[in-house]
Amino acid sequence: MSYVVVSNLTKSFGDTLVFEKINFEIEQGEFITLLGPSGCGKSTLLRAIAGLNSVDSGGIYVNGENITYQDPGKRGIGMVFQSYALFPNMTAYENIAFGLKLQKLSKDEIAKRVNEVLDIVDLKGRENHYIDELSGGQRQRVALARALVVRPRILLLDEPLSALDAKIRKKLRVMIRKIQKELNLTTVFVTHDQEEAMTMSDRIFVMYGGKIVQNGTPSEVYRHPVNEFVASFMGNYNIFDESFMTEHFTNANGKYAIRPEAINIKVCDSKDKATKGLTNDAYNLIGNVSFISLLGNVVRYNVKVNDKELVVDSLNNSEVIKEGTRVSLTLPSGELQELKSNRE
Amino acid sequence: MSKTNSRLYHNTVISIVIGILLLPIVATFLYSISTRWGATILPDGLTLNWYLKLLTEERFLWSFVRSLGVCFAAMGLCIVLMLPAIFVVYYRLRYLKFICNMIVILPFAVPPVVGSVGLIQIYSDGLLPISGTFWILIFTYFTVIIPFVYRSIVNSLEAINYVDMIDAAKLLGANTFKAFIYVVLPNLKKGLLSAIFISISILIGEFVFANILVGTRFETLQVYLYNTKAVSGHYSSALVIFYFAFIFVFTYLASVFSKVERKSVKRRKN
Repeated sequence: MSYVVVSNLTKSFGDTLVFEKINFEIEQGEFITLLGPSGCGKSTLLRAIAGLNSVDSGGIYVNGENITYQDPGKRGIGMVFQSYALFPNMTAYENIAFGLKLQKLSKDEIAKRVNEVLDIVDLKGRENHYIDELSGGQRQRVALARALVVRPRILLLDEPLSALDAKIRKKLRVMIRKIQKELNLTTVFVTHDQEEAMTMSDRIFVMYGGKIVQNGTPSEVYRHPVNEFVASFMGNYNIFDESFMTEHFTNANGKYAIRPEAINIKVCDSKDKATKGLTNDAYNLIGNVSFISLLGNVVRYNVKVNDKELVVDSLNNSEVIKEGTRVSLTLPSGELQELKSNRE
Repeated sequence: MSKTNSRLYHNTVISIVIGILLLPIVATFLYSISTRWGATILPDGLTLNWYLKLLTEERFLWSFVRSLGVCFAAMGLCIVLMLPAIFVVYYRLRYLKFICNMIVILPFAVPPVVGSVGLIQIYSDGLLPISGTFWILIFTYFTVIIPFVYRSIVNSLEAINYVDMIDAAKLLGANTFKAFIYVVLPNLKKGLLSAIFISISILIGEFVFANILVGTRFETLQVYLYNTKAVSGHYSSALVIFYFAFIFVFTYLASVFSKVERKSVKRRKN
């Protein structure tokens, strides 16, 4: 049995179903991410694990122990909130020590453990500052330290980085992941940012409409999205419907998707024509570059093929193709991913 | 308009407004330190006798003590009742917010002359037969200040992210009560202080309820002022200036106290 088991968890607010029959297992020390758009139920699911929301049915087990109806404070769970939820009437030190004081530890023991986590989150020297005297990144580190100091069995992170600017966000990402690995801490992270999910997680659970629609390692979820929602949420997938497939490639049922970086783009002249069907295990399209965006190491081309606009990423190591140029696109058939419908 | 001109204009307007507001107080003060001030522009002579008389008058001192006692008791009662009520409404029964916001303005809607009739009836028998005693004043006064206490507390509650803070405290092992005491209450300090000072300032000047409900049986400051108005205008003026000064000092202390003392040296974030 896995360290954390969530089975058949269901929750609704009045008539609105928030999530339904959620099942997953997490191994000890694993970093998993609940990824989905806002309103998909991921935060409510996290709060249910923390015990801050009740559930209608189903169970949550940690190390074999049923914690579904336990008080939040007795679950051994640490949580970092999106809003930090720090106590403004206390200094950083007092904030971190709060949980230990409630456990009635001795002053020396508290000081020792608070100093330990202050070291871990790199906040030494800031402990006597009040919360409003700290920057956003420092506040979030105090919140992290406050959750870590009680040595939780599971760490829950509810979009902890979304209020921070991009640079600090990237730094904290690395910091959180490093600490998590060092402490071998079972962690559930909630985010709507697919890049954050991919860089941090061991496994990603993609949520949509109150369900986990796909569960896998970042590269599995990215390279093999199961349905149109995951494909469009995880990247800039090009999605082809049945009629486009039939017209340009081969007779097909349902939708197919291909990653923008899997498509090969090259300049061609007006005589070149697209060939239907497979050539060298690849399909071929002819179109015009309608828009270019330079993303740094990658150039993103929007290519118009008849009425459809395709996104093609290519490494920024040769001359950038100009807008309006006629180009030929090569789509390896192995990269075309069949998609299930969103409801399956 | 040039910068100096506009500054001159602003200063003039402000000075006029302050002048208008200060005029009655200055006049009252002058009257309270004058020997006689009748048909002349300026008083005949200056004296502190009215104040000496006031501060040695036992009846006045007792009325002042009574007023303070009733005000603080009413305010204490109000806070003890409102604080948990507001917390419960804002934390658990949020749909009642709207109703609460309506209810708290009721004390404004009922004029004291009308309200006192109903209050005497309610408190004449039944559970709390306190009509005619100072208790009825306490139980009346706490309703008078409900709007101010409610708003002050609610404003400082809404200024903090109390829901997440309570959740965080609960995850760290606190129950709802402890979370309220350690995490929410200290952050309501400013609101509570302003509630206290506004309430005291309002209640110490209250006359209608005091006069109708208990009158001379429990002479408060305002009732005393009313009953001695025939003695001498100078004496009444001294009394008014005295309690005005009291409120002024009280409010000043309020602003000093509400600046939360902090142990740490304020350094700028890096």
